[in-house]
Formats: sequence, C-alpha cells, structure tokens
Amino acid sequence: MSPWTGEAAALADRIAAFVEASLAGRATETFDALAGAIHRWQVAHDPVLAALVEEDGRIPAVPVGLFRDPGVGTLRGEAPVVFRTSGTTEARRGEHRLRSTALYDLGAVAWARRCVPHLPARVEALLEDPALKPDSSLSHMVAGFGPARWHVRDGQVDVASLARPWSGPAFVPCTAFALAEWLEHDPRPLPTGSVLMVTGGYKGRIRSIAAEDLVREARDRLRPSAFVTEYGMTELSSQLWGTPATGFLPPPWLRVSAVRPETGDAVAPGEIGQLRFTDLCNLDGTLSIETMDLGAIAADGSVHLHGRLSGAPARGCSLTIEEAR
Amino acid sequence: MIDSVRAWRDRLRATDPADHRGLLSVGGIRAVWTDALDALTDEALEQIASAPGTPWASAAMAVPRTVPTSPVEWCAVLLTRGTEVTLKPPSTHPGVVPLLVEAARAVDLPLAADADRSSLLRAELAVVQGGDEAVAAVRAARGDRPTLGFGHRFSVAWIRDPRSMVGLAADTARFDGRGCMSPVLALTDLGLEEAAEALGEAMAAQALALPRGSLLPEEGAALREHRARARVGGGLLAGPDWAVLVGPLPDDEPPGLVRAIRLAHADRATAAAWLAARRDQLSTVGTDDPELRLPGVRVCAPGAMQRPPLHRIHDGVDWVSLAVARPQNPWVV
Repeated sequence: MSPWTGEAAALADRIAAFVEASLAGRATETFDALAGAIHRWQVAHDPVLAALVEEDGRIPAVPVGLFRDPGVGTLRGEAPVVFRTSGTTEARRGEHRLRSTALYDLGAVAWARRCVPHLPARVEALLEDPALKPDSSLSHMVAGFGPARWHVRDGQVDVASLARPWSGPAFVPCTAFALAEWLEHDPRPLPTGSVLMVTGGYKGRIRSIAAEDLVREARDRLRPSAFVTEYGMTELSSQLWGTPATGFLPPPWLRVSAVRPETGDAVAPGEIGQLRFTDLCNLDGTLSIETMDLGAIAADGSVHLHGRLSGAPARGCSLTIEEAR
Repeated sequence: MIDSVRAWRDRLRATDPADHRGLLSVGGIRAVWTDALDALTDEALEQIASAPGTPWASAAMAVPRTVPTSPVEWCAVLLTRGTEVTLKPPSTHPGVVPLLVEAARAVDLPLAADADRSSLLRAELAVVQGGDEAVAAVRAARGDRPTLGFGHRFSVAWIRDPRSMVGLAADTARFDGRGCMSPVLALTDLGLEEAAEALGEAMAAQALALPRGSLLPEEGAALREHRARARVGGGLLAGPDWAVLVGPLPDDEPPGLVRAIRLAHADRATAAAWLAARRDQLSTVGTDDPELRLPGVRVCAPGAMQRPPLHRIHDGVDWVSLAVARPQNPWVV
C-alpha cells in the first residue's frame, strides 16, 4: 500500500513511472511537466517553500542551510524516516524527512546498477550499520544493494572485521576518510570481481586527503576490478555515479545546473559554478536545492566537482588563519 | 616625528585609493579612505606625541583583508611615537598597504611592507586583528613576546527613532558591511514595519550614493540563503544590492552579510539585557538612546559606528595607550 495518499500518491506513481520509463529510454511525460506538478503540490503543503516562491513562479532552489533551520519539506511533526546531515560542527543538523523511502530506493538502486553493471551482490561496507544509524542516508542507500557487513562502528573503521577473509567478490562502498584509514592498516587485495566505491569529501575538519594519492594507493593495494565514485546528499533522493577518471553522471530524473555564487545567475556551459539539483524523487522533501558545492557541467551532462564554498563567510576583521601563516 | 606623520597623512589625503580598492567600489574605498584620514586630527596626533612612556622599538601588523584602511590609524600612532612599523598585507590583495608605504618613504617615516609571516615574529610588538584562530596562531608563535590580538567581535545597533536609520544605513554601507564595527543586527522598539521601511529606504539611498563593490562567492551564497531565511521567518525588504532581514530577536550572533542587516523588535529592557549578556562579544553599539550604558563597549551614534575616533575603547581596551608605549608592568594583554 502506498504511504502517500490522494494527490501525493498519484504523483508518486508518476515519478516511479518516469524513473522506470527513462531507464528504458522512453518518456511518460516531460521532466518539466512532472516537476511543475510536484512543485505545485509541495507549495501547497510546505509553508517554507511557499514563502520562497517568487512572482515569476519559477521553482526556487532552496539553500541547503534551510534544511537545518527552519526545516524544509512537506512533512511536519513525526516522520517515518529522517535522514540527517553529518555536520557535527553545526549546532543543528539538516533533516530530510520522508513518508517512505520507496522512491528513494527505486531510483538509487536502479541508477547504481545502470552505472555499475556488474555490481557484486555481496556488500562489505566501510560505513555504519543502518540498523544502528538509521538517519544515515548513505548507509540506507547501500543497504539497498544486498546483504551487507558493516565495518565502521562509532565513527571508527573496524580493522579487525575487515581483516577476516572474504570468500568472493564484493561491493565495497566507503567514504574517503574510512578508505584512507583502512589503507593505513595494510589491507589485502580485494577478491577478483570486487567493486570499490568511494564517496564524500576529501577535506575534513582535521585533515585533508589528496584525492589522487588516495585513488592511486587504493588501486595499487586493493586492486579492485572496478573503481567507482558516488555523489549524494542527505537532502537529495537521487545520486550521481562516476569513476575517478570521469565526472559524475546524474540519472534522467535529476537535473543539475550551476550558477554564479555571487549572483545566482546561470554560468556558461562548462564553467564552474555553485551546483543546484532538481530531483524528481524528492517528493516529500523539496524538489530543487542549492548546494554549497562547486562544479562544472560538461557537454555530456557529467558533473565535475571543484570543492566547496566556505559555509561561513569571512567576517569581522576577517584575517583567515592562512593570513597569519 | 609628528610633523612627518602630518605630512604623511596629507600626502595620503591627496592620493586616490581607487586602484587599490580590493572588494570595495571606487566610491566605497574613497569614503573609508577619507574617514580613516579624517580621524588623524592634529589634536589627536599631538596627544599621542606627548604621551609618557617608552615607545615600542618596532611593531608589525597583519592587515585584515576586509577592512583595508585599518592599518592607517595604527601606523599613525606608532609612527608618531617613533616606532618602526612593518605591515604584513593580506595574501589575497595588498589593499592600500602600498600607498601607505610609498607615502611614508617620501617623508622618511620607518614604514615597510613584508608579505612574509616572519615579520610578525621579529617585531617587538605584533598587532593582529582577525579571527580568534589567527590571533591564537600568532600568539603561540610569539610565545611570551607582546602581542596585541583583537579577535572576533560583532556590532549591533539599538534604535528608537526612525530618523536614526539614515546613519545606521551609512554604517552598513561602509566597508560594504564587512568589519567588526559593522552592524549585523538592529534592535528597535519601533513598530517593525515602520522601522523596516525607514531602514530600507535609507539603505536603498546608500546603495545609490555609495555603490556596493564585489562579492566573494561565499558571500553571495550566504546572502541568498539568509534572504530566503528572512522570507520564511519574518520578512525581507531588499534591493539588488541591499537587504533588511526582519526576524525575531536571535539567541546567537547573527551572521555577517554584505550590505544586509537583521532587524528585530525588542522593548528597551529586553534590548538592554540582550546587549549586556553579550558585552564581551561586542565591538561597537550604535544607538540614539543617550541612556544606554555598556561598560567596556564602544557606544556611539548611528552613522559613527564605522568612523571611529582615534581615542576610543577598541574591543574592550584602550588601544592607543597600549600602542604608544611599553607597559610598565609585565605584559598582560
């Protein structure tokens, strides 16, 4: 039974049909028609979004900071599913509240299998167990790929559990920092046929990882049969997939654009800008978001990341720490 | 030495800083340049020259990028005392530092620029304005040697008369709203609609009189986010280059935004309590309330927040007395 009712249920059906048809190379309707219908329903059910609609009627790209405060989405009060951002430096974490993960799961698994055709059924995840961390959208996504063992506990890579031998090829998703930590413990090469996936940023609060070095070391030591990259956000229901040598490919139900951070105006094709996503699977949340990530969109639609905007603009007599060095 | 400093000041007055504007517009840099030099009155310089005590032999200052004219007053005070001064310009843009150094060279004042961080370590006195981390880093590198550190503070206005909004708008326009003396929040016991309209009208006029300069990418993104927040949580009155963000009285320090100020209603007792509770974090309070008392905080009229006189309390300390002479007691600042 659909967790949605009335108009929302009809929209959920249209979204699911769009996802399945677009993967088959067909179209049930245009992206814009479906986006418009979802947006109208969301405006009627989300006062935050309604307040952001301009007179020109365009779908506003909601800054991701608003997921933290005051909160964005069509669900108020208790939500069956809540994914939260991991920003531990923030007083309050951003929340993506969902009635159901049905659309999330449909798109996530289908696009991953399209981008990574020979994904092994067995999963060895350098992630927290979603049973213990149900608000992690990344762990939730990976759980959809098959039976998994989880090798991160309380934020620490469980090196002992990783040291146990694996019997066959595995899908090995990990964050960049977990992968770096694992490599420090002299891991064995992965079984033939294994697929290594890395996701997440390379610059943390304490240290930064040189992405190229990490990729090279992981290739040399883990020897995966395939090495893929994933880009996702708590505030989105869909993900982009790529390889270390290529950009990230969005699914047909996720539209990506880039704007000049200073003005919000679209950049020319191929230019670096602040990324915005319009995700048709974001039925319960909000259709379009403005991230703090910088990227360029190539002619083939692939997205190439170029770091992040500072979340906290320089302030006061703002001498950055770099100035003093 | 005071005659040379006067000559230096007068040379600078005759210099157009437009080519050194950094993020500010031509009008913006000229306005703050004039303000900074106007503060160097003959009377103020004479008081400094005649102050007792042994001057510092040498001083180095890290120049903040958001307030490019901040070294003007420090140079004037230290050079009047005969202190050798080295400026470490911001790595991103030297700002007006080359102008200050060039004019000093012409009148034989000991002012130099050195982009290397080691200049901050060599001098007898180091002056650092900026983020708390930057101040801490310099302090740690210098050990027990005298360091005047001015970490993060913010400024607020407390307004009771709508006519004061003209001055407040001028304060938000100076340095485009960057800098610790720039008001990030206006508290008022006026009706919010009346206050927002008066402030918006004044900010729109300032945008014409003193055009906004450039935005950093992160500043543009933050403006969009906080404009959106205001639309959701209170109200937004905005033009292309300015914004009044209406909302409830915040618990935390509001974010600093370019040419944008948060406006919140508070009765007099609430405003006084809010300000008193954050006294240690405040740089400047601009107010038309003659009865406001905030010991240790610079309190001034709206319109004067970003145009401080030379002699003042700066971040809770009498900075001039610390700059003119070595302390007699062990260094405690």
